[in-house]
Amino acid sequence: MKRLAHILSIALRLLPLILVLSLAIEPDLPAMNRPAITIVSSSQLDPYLLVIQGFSKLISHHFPEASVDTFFLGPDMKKNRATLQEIENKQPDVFFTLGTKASQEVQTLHPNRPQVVTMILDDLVLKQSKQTTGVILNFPPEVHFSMLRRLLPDAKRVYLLYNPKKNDSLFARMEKEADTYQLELYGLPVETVSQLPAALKSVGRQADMLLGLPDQTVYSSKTAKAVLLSTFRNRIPFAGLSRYWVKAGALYALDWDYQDLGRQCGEMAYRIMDGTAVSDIAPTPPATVRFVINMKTADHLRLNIDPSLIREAAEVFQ
Amino acid sequence: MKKSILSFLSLVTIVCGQAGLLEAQDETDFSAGAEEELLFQDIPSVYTASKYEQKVSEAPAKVSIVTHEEIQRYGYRTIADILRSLPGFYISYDYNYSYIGVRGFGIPGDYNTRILMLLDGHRINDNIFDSAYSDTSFVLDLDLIDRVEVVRGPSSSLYGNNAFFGVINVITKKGRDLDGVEVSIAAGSHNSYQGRLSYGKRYQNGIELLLSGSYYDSQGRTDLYYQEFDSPSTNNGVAEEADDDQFESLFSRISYGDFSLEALYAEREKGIPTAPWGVEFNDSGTRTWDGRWFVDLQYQHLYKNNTEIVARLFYDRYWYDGDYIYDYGPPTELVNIQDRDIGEWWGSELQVSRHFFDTHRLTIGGEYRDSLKQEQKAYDLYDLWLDSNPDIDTWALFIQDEWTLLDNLLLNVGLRHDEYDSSDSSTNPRVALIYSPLADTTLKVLYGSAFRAPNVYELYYHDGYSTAKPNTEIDPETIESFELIWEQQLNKNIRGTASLYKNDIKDLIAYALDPDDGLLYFDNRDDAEAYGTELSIEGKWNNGFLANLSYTYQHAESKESGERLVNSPLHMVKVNVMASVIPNILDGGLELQYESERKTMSGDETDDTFLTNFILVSKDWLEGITVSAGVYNLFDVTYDYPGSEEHSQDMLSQDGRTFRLKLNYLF
Repeated sequence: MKRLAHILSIALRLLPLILVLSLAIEPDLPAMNRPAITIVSSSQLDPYLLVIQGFSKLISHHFPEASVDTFFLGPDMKKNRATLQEIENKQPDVFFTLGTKASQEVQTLHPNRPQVVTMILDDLVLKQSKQTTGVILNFPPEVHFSMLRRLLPDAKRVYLLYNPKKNDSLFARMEKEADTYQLELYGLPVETVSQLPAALKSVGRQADMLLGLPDQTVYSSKTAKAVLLSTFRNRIPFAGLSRYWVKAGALYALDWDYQDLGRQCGEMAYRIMDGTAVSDIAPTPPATVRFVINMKTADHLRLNIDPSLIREAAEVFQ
Repeated sequence: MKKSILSFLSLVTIVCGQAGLLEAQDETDFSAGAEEELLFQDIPSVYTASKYEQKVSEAPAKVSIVTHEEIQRYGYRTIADILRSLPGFYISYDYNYSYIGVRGFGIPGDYNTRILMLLDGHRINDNIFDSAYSDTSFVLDLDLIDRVEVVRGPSSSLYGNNAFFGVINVITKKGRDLDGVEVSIAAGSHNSYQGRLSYGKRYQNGIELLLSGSYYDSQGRTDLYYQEFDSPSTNNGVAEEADDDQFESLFSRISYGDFSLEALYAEREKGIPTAPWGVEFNDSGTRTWDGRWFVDLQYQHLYKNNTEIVARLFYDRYWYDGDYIYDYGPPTELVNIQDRDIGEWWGSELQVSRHFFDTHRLTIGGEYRDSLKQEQKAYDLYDLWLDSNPDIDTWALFIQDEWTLLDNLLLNVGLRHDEYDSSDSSTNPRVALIYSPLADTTLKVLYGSAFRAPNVYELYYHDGYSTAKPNTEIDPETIESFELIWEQQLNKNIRGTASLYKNDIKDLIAYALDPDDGLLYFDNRDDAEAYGTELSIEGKWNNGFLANLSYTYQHAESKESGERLVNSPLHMVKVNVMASVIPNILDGGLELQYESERKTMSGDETDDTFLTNFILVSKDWLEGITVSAGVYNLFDVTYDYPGSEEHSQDMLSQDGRTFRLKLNYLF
């Protein structure tokens, strides 16, 4: 009994010390289980920042204690090399990458680490690793066509300009779906920029509308003016690639709710950290579609747009 | 020489440097941007862009494009008004036709044969005089024009005959541009009235239609004084009621897919108050009629392998009637000498373009024109002294390659061979090097040649050997041209262009006087040369403010005499300003044009001139209605143009202040 009392007295004496020690090392204890996420973005443009904001909001909701590192790649090559070296040393639970370049770099540095990807246009990045899933920017054909039908009910001959070497499958998917909407879809192959003027002339003669799909050969900062001016002069409605194209003169575009994109990716990251295998999380298209329209262009095209559609628009350029 | 080598080396260094820079982009450089970045970048607005800027900067020539908006805002009434506003162009008018002068050449009596005029690519120059019409005899109402593309410099390597000083391609509007019925009425000085009814539509089945009819009637100046005729027997030099002008035209185009069928009918009647060719003064019976109709079927298709085919089949008819009232003295007194000319021809064109090796765009083509009729008749009450109807056919083959040497360096080479029944064949090359050392800078080095075959009028016309005789031994005249062009986007609103050119002309066709019989005839008279510079700045701002400023220096002289050419101003300054007077309600257009003096046939000089035109346009203030009011020669400046051989007048006084009020209503 005496022995027990002695032990207890030692324990009681040591208790403060244990408490002090445990308090001292407490910050390190949860760190072993604290979720870690590394965000790598190809750009610091507003849409990218909004996506990160939406992602972070969701993650902090599920994991208030999560550790999040964010890296941006940019035009400074030297800085990029240093940033990539730093990323190489990271061992997060999940990478969240924005844009093709950043995603590919992370895939190369950490091929076996889970990665959630967005701000990409095709599933090429996703196919490169089984540890990758994400939200692809491309809207499914049916989303494009249903909006097109609502906005331009009389349009029949819809033209697409695309580089067959890169976007043949995308065109095939669109073509398959067009019938459902009683649309005649015509694809004009444009393999080099120099082939674009003849293709645009053909569109000007025959098309009821030009549906813009992300194809770097056809739509780039170099060609934007030519495409916009050609459709404008020929009074051909042009569905642009984003709000920026609509602002510049395209009739309309399907745009993204960037915070919601981030939220979608956050959900995926949460599921991965919660134990779901990446292969069980299928890549998805954006959950929300924003419709943007340019009424000045609509006037130029002499289009009567349904007022309810204008009210529905997330953004209207006048 | 050393300097040239150094310049060449520095050019090579810059070019290679640019290429090296492109190659130096490595994988960690994200400035090039991934595919998705094209979604998130700001794109220059289509509303502030110059609508044809790319076409202009990539063309192997100095090109100006005048849009329908500018035609409306500056109140242009004729093609001549449009051309007058451009650097390097000037106009003269003899109260029958307007004559286009370009880069120092505006030889009096030349019926615009050294300019090729196209309407949607269809040749407008006829097959008797080879004339390009720029006044009210132009075949189309200006309201139907979408744009006018003006290419300076010899272009025979692509277009053949008459593309001597340049090519003017008038592009018409499409049915979809109207999308309904449009009515236009206009009234102006000299009891001038104009009306137009048009219908345009693009149907859901893809058929597109444009139909339009126009009518213009002007009493003209009721009295015109000419001191050369100032005697009691000739009404003291006053020509009364002899300047009338009527014009009517019908235009239609129907297109479906790759096919387009265009048909046109136009006729213009003009009284001639100046008593040319020694006709009776102050007799309104002296007048001309110019008529035209054509049908043109075009097929244009882009194949999946990126081969583009353009084929054209056409049939044209042209007629010219001239009534010239002469006083034969007793017993018949006044006699009408009549010119009756009819031209008919059909032809076809084929052009195939294809890309090779990513860097070449090769175009080959051919053209055939078969003249069914080139009839010239001249007669009076007693005699038919001219009855000529030669049969002159022509064919041509051409090839052109646009070779992208580097991303920023383009070489454009072309060659065309033309065969004529009536004169020697002609082969003409063109070489253009187009270099963009910086995103906003384009440099062009151009070399080209062109020809003009003698026309039927020059070969066969005579007036019964009383003053003129034919000459069938005329060679084509030729031109060789060198030009340097610098185009610079100074900021997002302002663009500057500078060009320097030299033209060498050989065997110029002009009137000659045979000392043996005292008769006039056309012959290869002289060689000539011209050099000059054109500087221009154009700006366009978001608020609709638009301004063009240009200065032209041009010196054209005869190589034989070393004298400056007749009807060729040395300096021209032109200012065009367009601005919103009351936002969204009223726009204003202001034109200022200065020209230094022109030498006349007698060696005298006209005064320099400063003209001001001012237009107000209200568009869609009431839905569908556009109203414009224009004052031309606002300060009522007195000015003259030189007369030509057929005139007794050395100078012809031009219109003072005139007005026009116009209303368009689009249903």
